[in-house]
Amino acid sequence: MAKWTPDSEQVEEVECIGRRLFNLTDIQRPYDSSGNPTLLVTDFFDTRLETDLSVDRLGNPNPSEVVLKHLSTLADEECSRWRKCREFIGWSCLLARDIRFRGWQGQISPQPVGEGSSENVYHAEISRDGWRDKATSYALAATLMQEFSAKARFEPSRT
Amino acid sequence: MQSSTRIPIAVEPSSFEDDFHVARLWHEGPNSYRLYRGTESYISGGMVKALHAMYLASQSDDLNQGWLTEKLDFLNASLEGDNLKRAITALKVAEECSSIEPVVYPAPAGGVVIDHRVDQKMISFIVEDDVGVLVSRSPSYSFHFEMQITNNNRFRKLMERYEFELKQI
Repeated sequence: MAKWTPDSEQVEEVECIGRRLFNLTDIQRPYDSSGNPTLLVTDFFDTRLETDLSVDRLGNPNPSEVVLKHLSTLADEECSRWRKCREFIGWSCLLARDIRFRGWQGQISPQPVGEGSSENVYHAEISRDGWRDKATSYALAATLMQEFSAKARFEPSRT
Repeated sequence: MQSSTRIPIAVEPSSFEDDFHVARLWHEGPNSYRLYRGTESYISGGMVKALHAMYLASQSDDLNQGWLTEKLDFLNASLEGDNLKRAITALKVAEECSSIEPVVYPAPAGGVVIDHRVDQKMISFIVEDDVGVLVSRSPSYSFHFEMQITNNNRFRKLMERYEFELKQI
């Protein structure tokens, strides 16, 4: 299976963007009758208010199986470094163009991170410019949660 | 040692303590009750009669029917003071205005998140320290509303808006 190589300059509107979902030790996540996880505000919140929100570029337009497998391994490693993390379960994903709501400028930028075996060339960031204080960052997290709940689908971990 | 019976029971602040609104109560025997409100404390002496009366009342009234007391378990154990009061007040408003059980979980820095989902309508309410956030979405509109809770009047206004949104469900 061919490996998808994302454009390093821009995230295209029809790319599939996924936010990683982790089950944490202190939060019981509900699942629907089909086994899909319910999205939570905390899935879209980062306490480091100066940073943007990480997402993965999973494919164009559909998720690439090679990319999903590679990123699942990286996400498991991330989880093992995080004291409160119990399990990486997968992504909530949608097309980049579907993230649209009032007051947000719609910027998603490629931001490759890591090196060597942990390199993630599929990493991108959703801008939090204008939403960086505690109140607005919670508002952004809740708005994104609702947007993803309405439009996204669940892509499970491949590990 | 007697086994304890867990009793979902609502306790109003004027009943016997001023610093919380709702608690969970364990009945451990005729003269022994334990109160849970994030941290545990034992109640004894003059409280016992009042608690026992409340225990008896809880056996017959509808306090056991709602979801409120169950959701108290989802509050962050470190919540206290105004943060605890606001979280519980928000849960009470949610219970009064909507029969649909919300998803309740701790916010990352110690507050509480209450999510309501009914068909395509979603309401998220977050309260943490001096910050209150209300986000609502339906197929026809969406909005977000943030507030610095500098005093009780502002918190009351936030609750009124929350209540208004819940009644749209």
